[in-house]
Amino acid sequence: MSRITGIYFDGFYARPHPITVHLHPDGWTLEFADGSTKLQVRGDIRLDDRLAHLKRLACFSDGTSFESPPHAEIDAWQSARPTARLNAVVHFLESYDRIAAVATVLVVLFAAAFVHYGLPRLAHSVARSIPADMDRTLGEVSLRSVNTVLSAHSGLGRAEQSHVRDQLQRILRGDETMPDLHFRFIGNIANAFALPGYNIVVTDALVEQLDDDELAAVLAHEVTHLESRHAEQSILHSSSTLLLVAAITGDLSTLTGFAASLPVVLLQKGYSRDLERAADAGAALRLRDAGIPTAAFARALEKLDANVPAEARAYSYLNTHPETSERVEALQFSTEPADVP
Amino acid sequence: MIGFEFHGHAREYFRIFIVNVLLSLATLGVFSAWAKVRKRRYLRGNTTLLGHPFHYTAEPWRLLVGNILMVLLFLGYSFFGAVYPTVRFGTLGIGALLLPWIVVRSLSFNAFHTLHRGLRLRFRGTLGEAGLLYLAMPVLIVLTLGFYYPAWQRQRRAFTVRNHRFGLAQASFGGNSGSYFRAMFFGGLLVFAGASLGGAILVVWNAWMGSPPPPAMIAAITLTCYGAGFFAGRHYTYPRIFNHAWNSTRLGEMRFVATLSPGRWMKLQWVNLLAIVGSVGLASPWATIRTTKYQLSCLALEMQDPAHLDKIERMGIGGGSAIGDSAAEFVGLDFGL
Repeated sequence: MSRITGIYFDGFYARPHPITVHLHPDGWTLEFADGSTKLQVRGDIRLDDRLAHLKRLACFSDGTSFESPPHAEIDAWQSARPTARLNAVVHFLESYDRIAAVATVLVVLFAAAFVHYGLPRLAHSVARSIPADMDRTLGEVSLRSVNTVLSAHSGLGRAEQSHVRDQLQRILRGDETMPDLHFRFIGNIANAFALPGYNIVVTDALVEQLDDDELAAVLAHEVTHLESRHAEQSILHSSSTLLLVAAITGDLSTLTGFAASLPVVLLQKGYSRDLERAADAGAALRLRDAGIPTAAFARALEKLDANVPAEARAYSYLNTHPETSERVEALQFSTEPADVP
Repeated sequence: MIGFEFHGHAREYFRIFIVNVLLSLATLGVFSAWAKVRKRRYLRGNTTLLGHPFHYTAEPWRLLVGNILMVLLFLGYSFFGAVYPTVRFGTLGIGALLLPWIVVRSLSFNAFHTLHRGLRLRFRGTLGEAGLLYLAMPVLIVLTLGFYYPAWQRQRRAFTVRNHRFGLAQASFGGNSGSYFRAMFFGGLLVFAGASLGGAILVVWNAWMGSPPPPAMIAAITLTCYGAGFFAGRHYTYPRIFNHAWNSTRLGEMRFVATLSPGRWMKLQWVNLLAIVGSVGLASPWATIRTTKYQLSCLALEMQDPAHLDKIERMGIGGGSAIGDSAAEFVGLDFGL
């Protein structure tokens, strides 16, 4: 049995009463200044976990409480509880600078590895398991936003449209589903993009500027986006990154929390560039299978690149696509085995 | 006059912070409820009045339930919302309707688990009052093009303060909208000045170089200037409202006295910002400790007789569910101290 001193509050008045407490296995005996005593059995005592050098608070079930310095005697008395043992471990970890230094290194490594390797894989596997009808609905929603926000009806005739469809047919494999092609007029912007639910949007300017093989190459790139569900992956990726930042900093609401998440946002640009590279590689394979020279894709990229104003290229390190020269180089590399059987 | 004192140390708090972040990551976020309770207990337990500390007695598993609910709502909003817009509106609608309940539950949970001298703080706001404040008043803000916002902030503070009691001592609030309006008006001017500075730099650049800067540069300049203006405006406003609100707060027969220096506050916050961004968040425990220390050193209770505190009596009993508490953190509401 051990004795500790501390302050007792009766729960009715805020007045402090210095008392002595005798700790024994079944509970505590409180001994007041006037010599009277009171027994609190173990089941009636709710004791704070140990934390730093804070005073320990014990709340009794009758509304009274006892506050004491963090005596070792209380730890010894409490140690029978399994949760107390767990808390003792956490308290031990929190007590040494060296452990904190190791924890810092681990947190930094963990966060970097998770954003770099873990999230893309997670997004990849979840995106694949999205049911087809949900994916189609997702596609309809994105299509509607494309229609309302930035485009007008296509000026292409029916014959031209079906000609583009033929190019798409060339690079599809045997029993593959035919994606839905949507033709839109978006100023003089030459572009194509893949939307969930097997949809590809093609702008008029793209069709006007590219020849057949080049068009097939660009479509092969978009079809690869579709079959790997890249759009779905990036939605999942960006929403889970936000959750991760929230988990670490503990809040999303403050400006500083936002500032601390900036590096993570920049990493996401790297992620979408990885998806582009994967689509390039997939396109190269499709072109090879279809017997179209990959040089057509390189030409298409360079044509599209020539349309981009110089100042836009200057900040391509922030952009979602890799540099064109880098992409063209990668294409040449990836086709080498095919050229030399 | 009796001042609040804060005894926390940045080094000690950092150890707690980093170990708890690591444990939270290792348990995929489950431990974060325990982490939050430990951090809060550290801050409250190191705050004393006449030598007596405050205590935070929330059970972490209840916060965990709240966390799980918020993660589900967030996932519902961000992922399923992207697929089915109706789900997004549904979640938003539920969120809006839940807001008054979340606010009341979170304030009462927080109050109930704050203990000082063996007495619990209490919050007794009604759902009706919260509904009027959080659902109806925002419409008025929109209708008045934002001019009602400072008055709304005052109302929110009054709602929070007036419904708190410590034992039989009831808190009351006598703040006026004029002070809120002045603080926010000049804070708003700083935001405007920041944005204008950004514009001016672009104009000068154009005149000097003969062509506008590249888009990345434009984005960087405007965002930095706007962000800096916003930060300066926010921390111009904060100490003024802090002082006004606390100086207008009474607890029974006692009165709070707040004396935050706007200049020192501004400097403190800029150093915090630079340190946090420079350390990718690792300096945030240090920033928390120095901010709390300064804030509490500028807050005191004025009473005729210090023995007055001893005579405060308690009131009835009742709990509070944790869901509200962590929900409020997501929504960005918080009650200082």
